[in-house]
Amino acid sequence: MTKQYLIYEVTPRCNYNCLYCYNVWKADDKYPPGELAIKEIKHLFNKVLVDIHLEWIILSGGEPLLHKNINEIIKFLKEKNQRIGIATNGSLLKIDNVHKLIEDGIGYFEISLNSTNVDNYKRLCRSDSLKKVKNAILLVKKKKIPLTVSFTVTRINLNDIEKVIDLCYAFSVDTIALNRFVPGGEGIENKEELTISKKDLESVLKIANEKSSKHKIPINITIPIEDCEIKHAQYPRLNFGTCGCGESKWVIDPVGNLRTCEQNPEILGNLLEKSFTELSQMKSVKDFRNNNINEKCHDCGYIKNCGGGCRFVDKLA
Amino acid sequence: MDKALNTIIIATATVIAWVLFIIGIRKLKVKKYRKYGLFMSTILIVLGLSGCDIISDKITSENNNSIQNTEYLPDRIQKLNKQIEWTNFVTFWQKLDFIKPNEGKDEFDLFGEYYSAITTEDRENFLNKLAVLIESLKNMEMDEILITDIEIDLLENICQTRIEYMSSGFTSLLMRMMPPTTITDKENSIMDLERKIDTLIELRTDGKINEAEYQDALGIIKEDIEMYSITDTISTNYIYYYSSNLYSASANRTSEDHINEFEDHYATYLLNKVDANSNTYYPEDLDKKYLETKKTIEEIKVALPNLNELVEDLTRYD
Repeated sequence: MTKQYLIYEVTPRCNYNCLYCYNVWKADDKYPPGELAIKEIKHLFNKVLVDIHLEWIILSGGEPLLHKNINEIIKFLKEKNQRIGIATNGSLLKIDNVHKLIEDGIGYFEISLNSTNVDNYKRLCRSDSLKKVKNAILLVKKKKIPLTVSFTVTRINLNDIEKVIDLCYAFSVDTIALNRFVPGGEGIENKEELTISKKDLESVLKIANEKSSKHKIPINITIPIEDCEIKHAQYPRLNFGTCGCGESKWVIDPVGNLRTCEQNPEILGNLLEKSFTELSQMKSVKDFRNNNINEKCHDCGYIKNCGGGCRFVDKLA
Repeated sequence: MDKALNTIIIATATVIAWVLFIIGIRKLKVKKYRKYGLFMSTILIVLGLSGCDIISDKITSENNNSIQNTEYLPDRIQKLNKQIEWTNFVTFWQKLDFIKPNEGKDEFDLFGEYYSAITTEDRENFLNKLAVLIESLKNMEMDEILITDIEIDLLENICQTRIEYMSSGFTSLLMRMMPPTTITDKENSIMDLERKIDTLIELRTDGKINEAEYQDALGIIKEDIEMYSITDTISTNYIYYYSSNLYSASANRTSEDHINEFEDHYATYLLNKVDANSNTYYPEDLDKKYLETKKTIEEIKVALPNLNELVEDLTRYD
């Protein structure tokens, strides 16, 4: 069986309000609100972990650190022998809770850093916690825990990529996840302001490729880009990812619903009521996997590079 | 049994006494140490010769602490900074920090991007100056220990390698063999150190990070110094070409991985030693080399936290 990755959105709440945020509930008032209590979370995972063998569980959100039982969730999952990571904006990480999170079982951190420029950071994230985030990166690295910094490329921070990579290198960050902006959630409203052109994306990839080569820091392109649209071979130092959504990667939302992808608002069903096996084999999962992929893709020699690309986002403009 | 125990105690006490005596002699420049070393050695010789049982516990503890961390006063860095010998060394180190990679060279260059960043003449001058500074550090008058010989040796090694790298670049690829991982990791650690210091200086100059962030980040860079110190010790003291994992070198090897490989290599040697049919070549004095290397590694591990404190001071550009 393919190794599975699970993103668990522990809470919809967030202390940030990023312009580019893809959280599905931000674009849909009718999306089921709330979050599970610790008892329900334990029940849910006791059920799910019977059905699925996980490589990693990544706790996400919203801002996962806002869940009042975050440490208990981590401890519980650790007792279940799971490998646990946390994706956070970093603003709430302080020396004590970093230590506690690691002690409880966090083995991997992902922190968003979209600019080293104070103004751009504030504009994109609507927060002036840049300093705290940089400090969080250093705190995690001091503990020698694997850390990925994620950078979402938008029109606002396009020119900041170089300094962010430099900072990541100098702060001994392990890898960088470079995501192009994909309109979803809050991002839909800000689409015009944020969307970058293909040419802009190419220039960012060029810089990233050069910097990765110079600093020998791995940069992963985590939202797939089709090889027929941008030739991967032009950026040999970058690791282009493929889409595993609804196949090897799944999302559980704050109230226990299963989805195929962080960006895809379609709910397959609730895991407190139905089994993972049942939900993951639904026709709509197959439909999602077939989205954005056509006959030509199957015959294309490069499909192994891009896996047919992102199943959610439209082809590059 | 008692007799045997007493013999062991006597022997151990004598060895410890000699160690302390030697330390006392070596540190004659430190007044406090002189008294301590000579006094302790005398006491221990007397106790050891009398075969006194009561010292057995003490001996064990002294023995375990034989490579123990030097206990510095909390203000040692401030005190060190009042010593002209140290401040001269700081200035020298910072001069090296501000040397940029050679323009036109990149990471694909066979010898590294800092190759020829300084001229051969500069190299000579730097090395000569370094020798003078190290000598003066070693002879520095101190009322208490502010810096140990092992710290000075490590700093000297690091500086020498940095200067060589910025002049001749890395030369391991000139060999007609694949260089051992101890060498490539040693070279990479110095390359990484140079580049990270340059990047941090640039980020700070651009206002992208502040002084505190700069200092914190340097704290992490010190891993390069750890890697350098361990790989340098193994490749110099043990066997240059010993790696059992030559072809499976991971990009994320740690100094601990190197230590494990070194131990594995010696364990394999011990097994082969009793195997008359073994064809593997080992130097005759491998046992001796192993013990010396292991001892140096232990010393370095103990010295590193304090060395880090020194490096932090070296990179504080007030």
